[in-house]
Amino acid sequence: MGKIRILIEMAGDTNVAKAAAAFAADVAAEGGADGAKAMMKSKTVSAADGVKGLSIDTDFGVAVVTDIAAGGPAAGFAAADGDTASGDEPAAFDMQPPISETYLMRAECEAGEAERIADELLAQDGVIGVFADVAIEPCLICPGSPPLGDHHTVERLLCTDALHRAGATGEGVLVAIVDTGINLAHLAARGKHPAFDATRSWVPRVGLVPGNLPVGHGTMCAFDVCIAAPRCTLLDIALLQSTATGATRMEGFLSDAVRAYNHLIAVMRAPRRPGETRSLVVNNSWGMFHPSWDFPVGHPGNYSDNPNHPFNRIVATLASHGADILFAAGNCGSDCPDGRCQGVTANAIYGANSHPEVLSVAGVDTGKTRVGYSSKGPGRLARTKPDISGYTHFSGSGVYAADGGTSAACPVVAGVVAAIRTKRPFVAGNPARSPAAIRALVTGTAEDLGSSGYDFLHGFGVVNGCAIARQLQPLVIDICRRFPHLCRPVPVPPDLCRRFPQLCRPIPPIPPIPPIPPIPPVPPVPPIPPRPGLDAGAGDPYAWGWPGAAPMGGMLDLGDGSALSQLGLDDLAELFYYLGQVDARAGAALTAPPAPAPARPAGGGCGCGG
Amino acid sequence: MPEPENTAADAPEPGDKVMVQFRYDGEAPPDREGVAALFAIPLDVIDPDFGVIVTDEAERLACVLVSRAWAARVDPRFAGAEEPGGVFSNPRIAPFGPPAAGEEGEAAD
Repeated sequence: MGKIRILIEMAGDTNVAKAAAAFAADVAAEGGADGAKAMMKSKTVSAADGVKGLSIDTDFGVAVVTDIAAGGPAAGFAAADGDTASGDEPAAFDMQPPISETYLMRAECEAGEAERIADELLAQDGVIGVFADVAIEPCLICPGSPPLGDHHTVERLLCTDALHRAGATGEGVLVAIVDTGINLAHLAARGKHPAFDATRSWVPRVGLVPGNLPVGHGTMCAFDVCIAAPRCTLLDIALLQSTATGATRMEGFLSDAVRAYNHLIAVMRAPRRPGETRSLVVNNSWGMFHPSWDFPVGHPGNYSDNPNHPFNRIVATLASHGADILFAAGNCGSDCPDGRCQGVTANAIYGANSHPEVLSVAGVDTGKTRVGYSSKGPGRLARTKPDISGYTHFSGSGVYAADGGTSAACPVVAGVVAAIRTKRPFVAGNPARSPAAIRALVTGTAEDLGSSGYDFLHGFGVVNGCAIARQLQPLVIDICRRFPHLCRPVPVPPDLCRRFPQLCRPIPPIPPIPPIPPIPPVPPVPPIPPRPGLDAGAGDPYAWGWPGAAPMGGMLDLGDGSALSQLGLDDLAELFYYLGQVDARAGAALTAPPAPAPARPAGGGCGCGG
Repeated sequence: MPEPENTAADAPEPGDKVMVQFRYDGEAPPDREGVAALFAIPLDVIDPDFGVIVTDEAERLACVLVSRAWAARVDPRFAGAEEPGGVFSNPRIAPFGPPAAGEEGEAAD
């Protein structure tokens, strides 16, 4: 037998209380050392330390156990000024009800001696109780566990608000629920109002009405798709309605799935309707529970491990047409498998559920802990399965106490895929819009769980709608915010050459330099007559000052131009804006035609426009 | 736990039907009558609801659903072990819905 830990509950004494305070203040630093010293000064602790075979854990220290209710229900009331029976005096309520405090310390002993040690401890003064300190681990969700969180919790975890703000709503995307059938009335009653296409739905036999089938597993899947993709268009592919010999309720045969997929290939090949993309998401929350349902591995007709099986072939064909196909990994996880797994939990992701062209979905609860029944990889067809985890075992559709199983995890992820497809619809021949690209986006943005990187419990991690929403946001650069001077309105460009001929001197030509004709003198610019409302003064919206310019009768004195070289880009932009305004107004106000621009020498290099 | 030994003969029933996949010539597979003639089996053992379904356009593969008894009589050319053609299982499938504990694991639904 090995060692076990025990917890010892003690009544307080001064040193224990001091130790507890010191540990509470700072266990890691000096307080821990002070606390340990104070702890060992306590009579109770030192007496316990003297028990043979017991080792006190000073690293654990002392923890206070508070029992607020110890004083009893009436303990908080005290009579004010004695008698309250007369009713003349109000009863005073003590806002600090009596609190009973005890203290816990931890110790270690041999498991075989635990009983003797506990008896010796309990015989000592100050020791109130001795308890086992049992090992604990996160509580796994198992079949029959109550739901953890609800569909609103899942919405928050998926950042559906951000997805929808980015336009990722599932609108225009077909989502085939390959399952037991959908009941639209139930969905509406639960607040989900997706579009529905009965004409492209499929039922295995006459008499079944798509969208109006009994409330069951398929309706749960449809609800869970709508968490992320509320505006998708559902197709009811009521596969699990088989009446073939040997089938039980809500079951079918793989040949039914071959038929259903043949129908979906026809859907993909048909022309789309206005407003629709060419995207089809296919949710499959079903599969095989046990190898005995199949031909044995190695038999040429086997399904689970055989990529040549007709269903595995047709899955690849549908994927090649651009459908995004998702399969639940299965409920044969070793911690608490579904009973139908009959104890077979190794390599329990069979056939198409582990197909390389699909997203294989494991299940985690809303606390991001893997549910105990979620099948582990590796997969049978492709080894690295599952690919991704989705949320499950939450209160949602109302069909069951919990939307559970990898059955619920799969449509949660399918809804995210449908939302993505609104923004990135399938385009034949565009690798960036292929199903493989969408799978890469979903797995590449996943929140890693478990061991670092890919693992056979969670795949690449849990689907991360928040990261996907960020990827879907269009990249917008606000030029005007970043470079406001580029966006300042310039109503009329100033005639720079006329105003500042020194800026327009011809560039010296490369030798041989042709003779440059003399530049005729610049005629003086006639003074601009007073312009009511234009010159600085009230009512002139452009009568702001510019520090480098001194108004001279409506002109600007630039001197020798050196002032210009002192200016920054923003100042120049301000200046040109100002000059443009002045030119525009002057042009309208002057009755005389403007002075002619000086003749520009032939071959001059100005090129400035007026 | 090791997988139970089972053989094709005692695999529990997909009822009595299995899928037969075959490679076809031309642009489209033959219809049921053509397949019956190809396999040298009676027409009525080929499931009419299932029909003839193309499973892989690129490789020109199609399949039919036939009774298990008759599948054994299908021309051996269509049952090659390494080829995509042949007789294939038609296992039961079931929802992975809210799981159920217990030996039989009756589904929650």
